[in-house]
Amino acid sequence: VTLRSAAGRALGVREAYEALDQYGQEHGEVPLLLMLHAAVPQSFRVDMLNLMKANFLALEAGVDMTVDADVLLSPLVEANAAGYYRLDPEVRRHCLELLDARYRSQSERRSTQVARFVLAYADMLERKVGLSLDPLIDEFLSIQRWVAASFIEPERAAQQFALILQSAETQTDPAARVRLSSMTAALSIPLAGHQPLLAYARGLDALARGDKEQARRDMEILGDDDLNISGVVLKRPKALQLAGATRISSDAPSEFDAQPQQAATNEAVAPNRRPMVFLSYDSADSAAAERIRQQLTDADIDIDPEAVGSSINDIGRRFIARIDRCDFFLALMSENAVKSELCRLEWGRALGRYERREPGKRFFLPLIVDDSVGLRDQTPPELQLVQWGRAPRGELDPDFIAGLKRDLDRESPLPPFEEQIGLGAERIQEPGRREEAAPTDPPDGVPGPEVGRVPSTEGERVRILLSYARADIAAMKRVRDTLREHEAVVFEDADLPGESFSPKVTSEIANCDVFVPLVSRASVESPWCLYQWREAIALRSRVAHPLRPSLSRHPRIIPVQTDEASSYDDERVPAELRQFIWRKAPQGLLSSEDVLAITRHPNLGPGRSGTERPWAPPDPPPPGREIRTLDPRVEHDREAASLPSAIVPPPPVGWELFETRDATWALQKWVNELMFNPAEFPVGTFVQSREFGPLVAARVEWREQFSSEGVPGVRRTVQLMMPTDRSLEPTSSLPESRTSSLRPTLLDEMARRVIGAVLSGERVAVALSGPPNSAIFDVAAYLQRQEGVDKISWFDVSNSPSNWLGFANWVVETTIGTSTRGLGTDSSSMLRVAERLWELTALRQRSQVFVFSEFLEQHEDVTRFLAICAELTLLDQGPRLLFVDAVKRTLFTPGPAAWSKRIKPQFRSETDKRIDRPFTETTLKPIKLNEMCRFLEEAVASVTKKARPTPAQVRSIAKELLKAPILTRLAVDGAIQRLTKLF
Amino acid sequence: MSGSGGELTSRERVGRLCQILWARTPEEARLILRVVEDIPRASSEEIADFERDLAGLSEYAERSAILDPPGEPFEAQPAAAGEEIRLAVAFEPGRTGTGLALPRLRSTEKLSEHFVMDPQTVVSSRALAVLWRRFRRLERSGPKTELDLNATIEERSRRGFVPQPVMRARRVNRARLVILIDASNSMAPWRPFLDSIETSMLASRLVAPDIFYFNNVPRRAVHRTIEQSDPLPVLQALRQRQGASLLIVSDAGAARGTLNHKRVKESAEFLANAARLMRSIVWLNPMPRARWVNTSAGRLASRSGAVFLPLDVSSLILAVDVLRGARAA
Repeated sequence: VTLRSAAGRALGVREAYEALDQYGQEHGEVPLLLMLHAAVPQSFRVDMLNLMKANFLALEAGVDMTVDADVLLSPLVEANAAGYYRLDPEVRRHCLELLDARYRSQSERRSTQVARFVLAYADMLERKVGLSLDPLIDEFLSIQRWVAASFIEPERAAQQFALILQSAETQTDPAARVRLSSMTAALSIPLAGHQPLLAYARGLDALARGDKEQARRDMEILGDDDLNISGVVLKRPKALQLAGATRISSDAPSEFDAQPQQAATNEAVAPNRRPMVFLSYDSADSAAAERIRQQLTDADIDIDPEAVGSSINDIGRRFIARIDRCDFFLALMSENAVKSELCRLEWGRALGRYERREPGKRFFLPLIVDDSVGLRDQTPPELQLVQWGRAPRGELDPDFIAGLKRDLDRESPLPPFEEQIGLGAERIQEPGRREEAAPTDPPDGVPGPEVGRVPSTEGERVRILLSYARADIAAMKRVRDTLREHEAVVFEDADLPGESFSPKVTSEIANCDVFVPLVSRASVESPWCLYQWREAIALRSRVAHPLRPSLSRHPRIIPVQTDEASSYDDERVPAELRQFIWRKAPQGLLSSEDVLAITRHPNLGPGRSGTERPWAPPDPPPPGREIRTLDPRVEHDREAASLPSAIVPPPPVGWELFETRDATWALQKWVNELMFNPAEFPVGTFVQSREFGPLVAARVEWREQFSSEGVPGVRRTVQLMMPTDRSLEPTSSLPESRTSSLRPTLLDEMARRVIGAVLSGERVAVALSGPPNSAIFDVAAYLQRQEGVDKISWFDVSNSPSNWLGFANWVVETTIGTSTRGLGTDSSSMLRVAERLWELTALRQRSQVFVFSEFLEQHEDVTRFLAICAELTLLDQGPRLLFVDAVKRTLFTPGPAAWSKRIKPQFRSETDKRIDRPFTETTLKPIKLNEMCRFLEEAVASVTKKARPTPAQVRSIAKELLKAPILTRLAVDGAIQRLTKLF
Repeated sequence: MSGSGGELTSRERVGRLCQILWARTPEEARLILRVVEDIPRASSEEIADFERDLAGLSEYAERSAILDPPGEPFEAQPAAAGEEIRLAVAFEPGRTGTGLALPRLRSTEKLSEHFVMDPQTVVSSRALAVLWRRFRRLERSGPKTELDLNATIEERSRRGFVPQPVMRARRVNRARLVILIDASNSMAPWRPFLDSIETSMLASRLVAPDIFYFNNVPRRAVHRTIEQSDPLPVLQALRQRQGASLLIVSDAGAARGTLNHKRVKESAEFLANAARLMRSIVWLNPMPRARWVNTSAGRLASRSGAVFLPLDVSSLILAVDVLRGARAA
């Protein structure tokens, strides 16, 4: 027995929703409502449907039998034999959510009410049919009872179900077995909150069918402990303990020694299970996958046997747990895979793990297995940042396999990233640790294996990492030797595919002082080089990360161009790399000035003593004031534009760097003020200020920069800093008035909203958007401490190649859990997504808080999308979408006034039409959204002021509403009900 | 509510009062109860406002001595408080020996208050039976047993004497009816109605009503049972009952909203054949007329000469009139 309907393919989540939507549009509200009610029982009969109508829709439907006909004969309903009908499972899920959302103003959940009816109906039918119960009805009734009870009292139903499962193992009656498995399928929707229990039941079911493998897989999700459902303890079935023992218990029972499986699993009894590779691919690529599987198996690498290409959703759900447990995720990329929903699902899951991975550990590799080009652009933005590989038709490079194997065989993971990039002094005090890490390196030498052992500070020498393509090895050697002559510790990293998986690379980049990408014709084509460069840039941009101060250390990046073929303008060169000063070294010949620039130590400049010594600034000023001092370590007497670069001393004691582009608007203005006023703020000036609320500081210093003519040199610049220990910041000193700083009020207000949402039983998901700047992270850190915040996810709009699409995808995926595909960049796509988003958030009873930074406004299409979302939000009652401007520290509940003041003026002139167009083009037009929203707002406001709008106004609104799409109307209905209640 | 304000302290009481005032059937009683339950609950501020107003009113009342002093406060229970669960679910061990517990409602006696358990039908069996009695074509036939008073008087005045009273035959209902019912899946929603046709026939006093069942189109064979067993060629069945009226109950594709030209053609052919044999033909379509548009039903209705009617009480009366030849459509 499977959960799938026997007839044809089951609908996907999105298809089901669209089918339901279409159904509503074609048949109108009343049949739709009846269908929503019919979703509660697992299956229904004609008389039952009729009674549901009589009981729940008597006012709306009356005795109109066409309503019954519209439901029974709809394509969403499947007619089983003998007069039993059932809804498509995915449609049923949507229906249940819609049902409770539609009647959310009632004191009891509508689904519970209907479930009560189902129980009563079962009793009635049983009485009527009496003891001559035909087995079909008996089965039907018993399942109906269970489903209904699970809706009414899920906890107790789960407990009872667990009790039955407990005794099921000894159950020999085949009829009971069959019933149990059909019950498991039936309860999967009402007991959705008890996934482990369902998994257990499915496992038992598989066991009963004799499919031990499937059973083991089902049970595996449960983890190692016994399942405890309200006091009923479910143990792993005996037949499965054997298979389970290899994973969970070290004392595998000896009585199973004779079992044949034991041989296969024997070696895995070791405390550490064998590393497992998860192969994600579309079923169309199974030939390539089979080839890869073969090669990896030959190399004695384990592949998750379950990782089969498929497109069935519930299998995908099961995989998710397996992806979380695998050690390496290999994604086969092809035209098909890029289009596959399931593959995307798996990648998303794996990327989530990738982001939380132990630093420096490889986990994710997309491998292109066909000849297509431009695949990368069709994948999610996060995926594009990962290094990709190529394996035409599944043929793997032997070096790659060796590297992968080495990675997987590594017994202990690397020490955490933070330790690796810790201070050199600490490192020297703990030589033992370094020795531990050494033996794990492979015995056969690969380029630069010694680098892992280079102490982070080797005397006073600067550590330089060269990143190059294999083709440029001659040039690289020349550069390396030149630099070594200058007492630098140089190590290099080539684009050897085998080495690609060295977990050292990220830590190497983090550990070096200077990262030198050798830019050449070969290296800009090497994905591995580009990957390394991006990694270095990413590491660098995490400077002064407010949430992760340990990452503050970063390498300087000095690109060196080794041939003329590649140029600065080459579009294959990552754009971020162009912000650094490039040096030229044809065939690896560096000029002495460039050598000086590269080997200059960041903290300990050669021959210039004094810059490295710590300097403590005076105590910070009182609130609202600033203090100016001079940092004596900054060179005062030097000409602008002269090279080599001046030495930039580290931040004063108790301060850390903080990038200007991450700063708030006000701070940036302040920086400009300092920048363009050299008379008042000479180089070396260190200003501490509390004028902007929290304590910040800025230092005027020298920095390498291109002049406007493109000539490299040093320029006067302003560096922002923030205190290392921000917890000391006295909160009472923060000004309370809204005008001076909105920060505390913002946070208070936000907390109020969030807590309010939690109290009202809504779950809250927070989505942050915008570039990673301190303002956003402040808000994130604050929200993280709030209870009831479901999920915080973050999206960098500025990083996404096609902003709105990426953003919409992210919003939908993170907040709703489904994915969107096939969207255009036009306004109607935006509207479509916004509508869905809003409908779904309304239906899931979940508030969304969007926090964005001011930078978002630069992305016109994203803002437009948000504007559409905001306007739709007005139709619903609660604050479902809440927008917070993290930089200006303002919070606004989207209302036409607030929103248009904020967003509209920017578009008023030229793009105004484009904003309004979606509303005129689509079915939303008749509602006249803006007007209606304004009216609703006014109405609610006037009600609170006791001046009530006229019934005529209400009637006109209601009339407008009748023309709206049916699902929209369902959701709006709550607002209207509330409104009419007040009249 | 000035007089009874003291008693109406809860939603339940209000509901009961409304039931007493207006409910005539259990169904209406239940409906009223549900409507009362669906009234949104007031928030605590609103209740406070209301009570303040009420207090103001009562002051006014005391002063003017028009109203009685108000009783207890009106259901001072805010919406958030939540309702107690009215019916609990109890689990009892399975009785079929499969070891599966069947959860049951613990208190079943209150059920009748909450749920209607009688399926709705378009027309009740009783109303249908009454309707069939309207369908009669009285003819005098058989032995002359009844005194014809008018003829006797006429004879008397014509002849001057009457040797014996003039007798005449009794009037007998000669109306014959053949019903063809579509038992295909698309008629499933009206299955209770179809069943009630059969039961109502027993009380109809019609002479040997014949009910046959067919699937979508009465093309070759019709069946004697709704399960479609015991087939009989359709034209043979009609020929045997030549001169009777024919009632067809079928959605003719309107329920699914489809247009099937083949179906239209075959149905029209059948109707043409039947028209030659039957006295009058009425096609009852359970879907309302508006839903015939652009379906096989609509096409058929516009093309063939038979009378097409939707299924509601007034149309049924009209149908019966047409069938007995009393009225043309």
